[in-house]
Amino acid sequence: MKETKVTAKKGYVIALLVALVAALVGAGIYAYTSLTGYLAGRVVDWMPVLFTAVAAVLLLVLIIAGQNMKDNAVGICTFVINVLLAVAICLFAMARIELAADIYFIPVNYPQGEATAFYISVVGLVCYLAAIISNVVASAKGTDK
Amino acid sequence: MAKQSKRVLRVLAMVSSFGLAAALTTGVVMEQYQAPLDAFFDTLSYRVVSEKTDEADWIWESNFKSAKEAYEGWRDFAIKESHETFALLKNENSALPISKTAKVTLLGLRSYAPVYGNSGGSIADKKTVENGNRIYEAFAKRGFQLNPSMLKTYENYCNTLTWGGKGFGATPPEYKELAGTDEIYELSQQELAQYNAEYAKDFAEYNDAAIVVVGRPGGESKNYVPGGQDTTTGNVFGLSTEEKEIIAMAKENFDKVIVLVNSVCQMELGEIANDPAIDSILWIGYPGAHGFYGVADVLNGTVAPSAYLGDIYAANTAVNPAMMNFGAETPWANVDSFAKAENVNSYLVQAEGIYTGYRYYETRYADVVAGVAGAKTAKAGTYVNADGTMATVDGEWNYANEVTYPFGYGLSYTTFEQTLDNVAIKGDKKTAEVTVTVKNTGKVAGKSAIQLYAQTPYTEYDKQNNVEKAAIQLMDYEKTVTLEAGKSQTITMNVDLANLASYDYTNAKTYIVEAGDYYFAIGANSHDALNNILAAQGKTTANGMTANGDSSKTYKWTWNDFDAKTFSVAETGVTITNHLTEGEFAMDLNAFKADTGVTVEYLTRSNWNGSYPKKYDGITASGTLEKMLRNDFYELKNEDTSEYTWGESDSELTLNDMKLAEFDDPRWDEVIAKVTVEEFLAFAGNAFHKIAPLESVGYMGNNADDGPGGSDTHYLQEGSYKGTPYADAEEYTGYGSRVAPSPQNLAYSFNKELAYENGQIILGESTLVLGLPIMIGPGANLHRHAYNGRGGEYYSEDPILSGYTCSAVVQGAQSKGCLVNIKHIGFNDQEINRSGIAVFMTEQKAREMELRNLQQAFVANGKPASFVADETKADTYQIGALGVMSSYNRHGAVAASANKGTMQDILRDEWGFKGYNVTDFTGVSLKAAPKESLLYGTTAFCGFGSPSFDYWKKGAEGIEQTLSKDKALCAALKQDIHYVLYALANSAAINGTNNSTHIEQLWSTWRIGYTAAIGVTGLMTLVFTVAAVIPSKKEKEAK
Repeated sequence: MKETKVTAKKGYVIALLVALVAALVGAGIYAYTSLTGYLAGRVVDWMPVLFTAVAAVLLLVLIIAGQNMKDNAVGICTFVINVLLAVAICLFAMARIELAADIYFIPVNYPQGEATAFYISVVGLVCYLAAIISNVVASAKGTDK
Repeated sequence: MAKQSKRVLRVLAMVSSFGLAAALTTGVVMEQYQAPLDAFFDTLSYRVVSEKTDEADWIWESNFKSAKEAYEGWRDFAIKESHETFALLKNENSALPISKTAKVTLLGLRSYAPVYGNSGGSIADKKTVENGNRIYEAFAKRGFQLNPSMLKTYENYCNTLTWGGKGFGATPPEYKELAGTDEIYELSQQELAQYNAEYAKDFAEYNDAAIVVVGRPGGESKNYVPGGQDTTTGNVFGLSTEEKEIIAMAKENFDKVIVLVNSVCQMELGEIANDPAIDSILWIGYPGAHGFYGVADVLNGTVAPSAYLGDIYAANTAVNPAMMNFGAETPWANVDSFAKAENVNSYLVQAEGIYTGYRYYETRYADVVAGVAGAKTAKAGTYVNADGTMATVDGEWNYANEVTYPFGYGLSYTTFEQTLDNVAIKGDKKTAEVTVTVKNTGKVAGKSAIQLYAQTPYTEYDKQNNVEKAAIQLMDYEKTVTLEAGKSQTITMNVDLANLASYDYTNAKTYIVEAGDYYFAIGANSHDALNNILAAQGKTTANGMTANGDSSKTYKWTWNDFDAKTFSVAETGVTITNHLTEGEFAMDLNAFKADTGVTVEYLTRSNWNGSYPKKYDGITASGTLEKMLRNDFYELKNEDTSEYTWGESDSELTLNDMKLAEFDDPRWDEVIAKVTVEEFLAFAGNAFHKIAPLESVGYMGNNADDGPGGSDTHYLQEGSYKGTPYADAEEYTGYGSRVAPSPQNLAYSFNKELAYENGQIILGESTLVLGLPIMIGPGANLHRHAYNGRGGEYYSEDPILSGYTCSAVVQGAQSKGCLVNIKHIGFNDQEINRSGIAVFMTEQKAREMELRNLQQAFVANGKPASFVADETKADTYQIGALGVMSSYNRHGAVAASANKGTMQDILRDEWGFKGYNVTDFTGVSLKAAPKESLLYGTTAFCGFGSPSFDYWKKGAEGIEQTLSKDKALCAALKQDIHYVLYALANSAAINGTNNSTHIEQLWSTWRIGYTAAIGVTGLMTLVFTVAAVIPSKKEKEAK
C-alpha cells in the first residue's frame, strides 16, 4: 500500500531527528574522548565538532521548516549536511587511527585506557554513520509536498 | 516522477560523496601506515632504485645470493648457535648422552607444546616451526623414536586449543591458552587419561629414557608476580603439583629421567636438583624455531653441552633484596593529581644497590665465612628454609639453602682442567694480561669457557662512604675451540681493569680503586671462583665454606694507594663525576628528600641483616620531584638565533657524498646547514618502522624493524641481493630471520665469537637481505630478578657477560652495515608499568651495573682474544654502537630520553656516543618530554607522527616562534641532525646508493584498492551530482 503523505512526512522528520541526535551523540563522544581518559591533555582538533554543529543547525532547519522549503533548497541542504557529516566522521576517524594502530600493530604495548578510548570512539563513529544513513533516508523520503 | 528521479539521483550523489570522503581518508591513512600494511598484506609499496649502479656503491654484501641460501643460512646458523646454548645442570651416572636412536617417552605438556621463543617481540618464526620443525618432528628427524601414545594424548588435548598467540609484529608459535603468566600449564595423570585412556600403554616399549619438559612462557609485556601458586614456595617458578605428578610418574616408570628446563626466567629447581631419581637436567631456555634439532644433538652426544648459567638459580626466586621493591605495588600517593598524558604511575626504589643476583648471594656467603657480624643472622622473610620456602621466623642465612645453581654453572660430557698460567697487571692499572690453559681431561670432545673473576677489598673507607663491593665479580671470559680428548688450548685475555673500579658517589664522586689486596680467580662458576679466593685467604669448610677451594687458581696483588684519579677521566677526556646523585636528574631518591620526606636506606654488606631493604611505598611527589615527573620542565626562550642558519641550498653535497665519513669530517657543517628545523622535526617525529626522508640532503628514508631476534615483520619474499630481488623469493614467502635461540640463550654460551656471528647473520643479514638498515636490537638490559617476563630478550644479570655479548652482537651487525638500536638505555627491570615507572637507585648501582653493561657496546669493548690474535680481524671493534633506543621507564623522575645525566653527560659526553638515539614507542608526546629530549641528544621519536604540541607545529605560530627562537634548542638540533646523518652515512642506509638513487612507488594491492575506490566514487559523485542538479529535458519543457 502506498505510503500516505502524512506517514511519509512523519518518516521524513523522524529520519532527520535520528540524524540530528546521532550526529550530536557522535560529536559528544568525540569531545568526551578528546578531553578525558587516555587522550586528555592533548591539543584537540575541534573541526569535527564544528562541522557537526553546522550540520545540526541545518538539520534543525529542515525539521522545522523543511516542509515549506522548495525541493531544490531541501536537496541542497541535505547534500551539504551529508558532506559536513562525512568530513566530520573522516576527521574523527583520522584523529583516532593512532589508537587503532597501537592496539593492532603493537598489541603488547597499549595501556587499558587507550583501548577504552578506542572502543568508545568506535561507538562515536557508528553514531556518525547512523546520522549519515539517516540523512540519506530522509533525502530519499523527501518532503513530498 | 521527475521529482522522484531527482530524489534518487540526489541520494546516489550523497552516498557516493560519502564514499569518496571515506576512500580519500582511507588513502591518507594507508599511506601513513605504509610499512605495517605491507607487512600485513605481504606487499611491497615502494623500493629504492638507482638509475646507474656501480659495484663501488655497494659497501656491504650479503652472504646470501638467493632466498634458498638465506633460508638455509639462517637455519644452519640457528642450529649451530643452539648447540652452545644449552646448559647441563645435572648428569648422574652419565645418563646423558643417550643413543641417537633411543626410544624415548616425552612427558609434560611442554614436551608437545614447548616455548620456542619469546612472544610479544623477538618471536620465534611460526611458519618455520609449523613446517616440520616442531619439537617432536625435530627429535624424530634426528633419530629418536618417540612414544606415540603420549604424543597422541597431548595432541588430543592441544587440538582443543587455539594455535597462534598474541604478539607484536608476528604471531608466536604457541597455543593461545598456554601463553599466560599467572598460571602453570600442565596436565595431571587424571587429565591425561581423559584425552587418551591408554596414554601409558607404550611406556615399556619406549623406555630408554623419559624426557620431561617443564617451561614458562615469556616475552615483551609479560609480567610475573611472586606467590599465589600451588608450588612448594608458592611461586610460579616452582614446580606445580601437576608437574611433580608427571615427574613422579616418570620416576616410577623409567630408569632414566631427563628434565628439560624450557624457561628463560629462572625456575626453582631445588626439588629436582636434589632428587637422586632425576638423572639429568638440561636447561634449554628458548631454543628458537630450529633449536630442537640442537637439543636433540646435545641429548644424543653429537655435541657436548657447553653453556653456563648467566643468572643465579636461587631456591626461592622471591626471597632476595631486589624483590622487596618490585612490581606495581608502589604507585605515587598523589598519582591522581597528574594528567594521564604526563604518564605518571609508580616508582621503584632499588634499595638493594649493587646486590642483585649472584653479587648478593656470593657476597653474603663470603661474609658468613669471614664471620662478619650480621651476615648470618636473618630476619623472618629475608632468608630461605632448607626446603626452599620463605622463613617465617628469625634465623640464619645459609648459602646452601639459598642457592641451587650458582652463576656460571654448567657441566659437560667431558671434563676440563684449567690452570691460571700468568697474570701481568700493567703499571697504569688500566689493563691486565691473564693467561689460562684449558685441557680436556675427559674422553669426548667439548668446549669450555674460561670465567675470570675478581675480588676487590672492602675497606673502612667504603663503609664510611657508602661504597659497596661485591665479593666476586666477573671480569672477562673466553671460550675454547672444540678440544678433543687430551688436547689443550692456551688463551691470553686483555682484561679491562676499569671494570674493577668502584663508583664513590659520596666522597670522591668518581671511580676509585683503593689500597688493599686484589684477587683474580678462575673457577667452574662464580661460587667455585669465590671458594678459590677464600682458600687463598686461608678459609676452609671449617669456616663454613660449602667446599674447600683451590688457591692455585687465584692471583693476588696489592695496590698501596687510594686512587681516585686513574679511572676518573673517560677515554673521551671528559671528567667522570656525579650526574645521577644530586639535582633534578638524580636517580637517587635521597636527592629529593625535601620533596618526599623519605630517606632511603640502601643495603650494605657492613650490616646485612640490619639494612635488608624494606618496601618504600606511599611516597608523595611534590616540589622539584613533581615538576620533573610532569615531563615539561624546560621553558623555551625567545632569543636572537640568527647565528643558526637552516635550509641552505648553496651546497650540492648530499648524504651520498658522506658515505663512511667520520664524525669530525668538516663537510658535515655544509650538509647539516641544508636541513630546516621543520624538515628535521617531521623526520624525527615519524620513526616507527619506516624512517622518514630528509630530502634536502638526498636521504630517501628507510625501513626499520624490530628486534633482537631478527626481523619481526619482513620476510623472504622481499629478499634481494644488491638491489636485485631474489629470483626464488616467492618460494620462500613467509620465512624470515627470526629462527635463532633467544638472546639469553646466546649469552649463556659465554662465547663472544658466536655472539659476533649472531650479529652478522641474524641482524646483519636481516639488514642486507630484507632491506632494513635499522634493526631495533640487540636487547641488553640487565636481569634484576626472575620476574621480568621479557628477560629472554636480554642477556644476563651480569654487566660483563651482558655487556660483552651485546658488544659482540653489535660489532657483528655493524660489520654488515646494520644500524643497531640497542634497547634500551636503560634500567628496564620489569614490564609492569614499564611506561612511566620512575626508577631510583644509587649512582654506584646505576654506573656499575646497567651503565657498565651498556657502555661495553658503546665503546666497542670485549674484543675476543681470538680476534686480537688474528690480523684479519684488526678492523673489528673500532667503532662502538651507532644507535640506541631509550627506555619507557623513567630514569629517576624524568622520561629516559630527557634525562640529561644519563643521555647527555654519560652517554654522549663520557662514552662519546655520536649516533642515532630514538625513543621507544612514545611518539612526540608528553611521555617522552619532546623538547627536553631534543635538548639532550634524542634524534627521533618512535611512533606514527601526530605530535600534539604547538612548538612542534609548522609555520609562524609553531616552530618558527618556538624551537627556532631558543639558542640551546637550535644548538641541540644542529647536533641531533649531525648525529642522525653520521649514523646513517655509516650504515646500510647508503648501501648501493648514489646520486641517482630515489624512491620508486609501486602499485601494491592496497594502493590499487583505495585509488580505484577514489576514482569510482569520485566519478559517481560527479555524475550523480550533475544529474541531480541539471534540469532534465522534461523539466525544461515543463518550464
